[in-house]
Amino acid sequence: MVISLAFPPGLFGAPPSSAPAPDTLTVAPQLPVCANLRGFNRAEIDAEIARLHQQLVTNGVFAATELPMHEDGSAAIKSQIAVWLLGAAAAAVGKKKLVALSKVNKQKLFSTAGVSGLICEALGSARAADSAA
Amino acid sequence: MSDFIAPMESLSEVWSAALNRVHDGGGRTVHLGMTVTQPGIEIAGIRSVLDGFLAEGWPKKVNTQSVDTVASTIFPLDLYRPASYSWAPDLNIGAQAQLDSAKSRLFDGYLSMLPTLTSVRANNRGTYFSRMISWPGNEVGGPNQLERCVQALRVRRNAGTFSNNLQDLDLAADSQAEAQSGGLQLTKADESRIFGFPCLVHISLTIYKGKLNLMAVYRHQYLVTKAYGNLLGLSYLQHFIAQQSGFEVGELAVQATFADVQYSDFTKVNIKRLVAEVAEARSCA
Repeated sequence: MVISLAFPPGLFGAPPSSAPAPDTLTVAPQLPVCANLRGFNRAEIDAEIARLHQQLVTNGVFAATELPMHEDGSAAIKSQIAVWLLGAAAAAVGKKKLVALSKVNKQKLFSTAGVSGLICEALGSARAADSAA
Repeated sequence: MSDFIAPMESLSEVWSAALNRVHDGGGRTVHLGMTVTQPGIEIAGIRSVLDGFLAEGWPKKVNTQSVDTVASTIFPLDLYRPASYSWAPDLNIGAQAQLDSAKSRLFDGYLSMLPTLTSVRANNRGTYFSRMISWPGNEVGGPNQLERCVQALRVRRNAGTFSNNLQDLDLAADSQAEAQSGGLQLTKADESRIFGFPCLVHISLTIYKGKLNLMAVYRHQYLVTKAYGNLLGLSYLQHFIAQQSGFEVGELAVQATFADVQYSDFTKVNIKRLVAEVAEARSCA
């Protein structure tokens, strides 16, 4: 019977009995911070979200890895990373959340361009609401 | 009546045996026990069959999610990037800082997502993982039961009490998370809802012969939409706690007080088809 690990080999470390730990201290990666996106146009939001995602990948912040390119031409991502990016963008503009997940097209949660599109729509709605007030 | 699935190596085998057993028994049972002897091992073909079935376009009220999505409500694997070693009492400061940092990033990263996650109606009372790290799970800033659990286990490991130690860490300890037991709580003492969240009400950890064993109790186990993802998420959680506390991974057991193959959601004909397709995937593996 062919069985396999449900997660990348070694993700949870070697068993304690065979676990040599490094004796050198390297700087632990920090969670990247999103720029304040208020006033950004779509291209600028695209670029900022792509930058954030790239930092997650290159700094090894999460288990986020480079996936094949999404068909929309931006980086493909997992939906959990998309939700993190949405949270980071919300925090950057001083809001608890930017979107109601139950109302978004789930397909937009699988690419950085999809996420930046959601942010753009949400900020546009927020701007409209601010203007009306 | 009570039913018991004999221990098996992979979560896929255990899940498919449970699906079979309950389907053969009429679609529902009480007190179903399942044990995975090597949590984290799976048969990819079986998961693939289930994911395909769940994606078939069922009525919206059925609320199907992929196996990965269900698992992430218990442990968000994509947010955890640890060092390549486990915690140990003699770990040097730098190595321990790396492990702790990975743990903090997981917690902080998830909490920053929480307001967005709880915008989904099904999550408005929190997710299982948010209940573990910020009780009662729908707001940031609650007690972090999982952190407290890891620290309590490190103390135990540090004291060398990892052999024949049957002391149990009760994750649904007492009525409130402020209790000093080191436990994690997944349901409120005054929970009045009979159905729906939370189905997972209790997780217990037992250290025995140096291994961290995990038992989860479900009041409802939806065997098609949730059970596979639940077993996977619990496997991740068990590996995480074991790595962060320096114990080896033991077995994973699940006790479902009520188990259902969900004829009312999918029809008996479709469940019969799923059972056959899973059996085929298992024989091909």
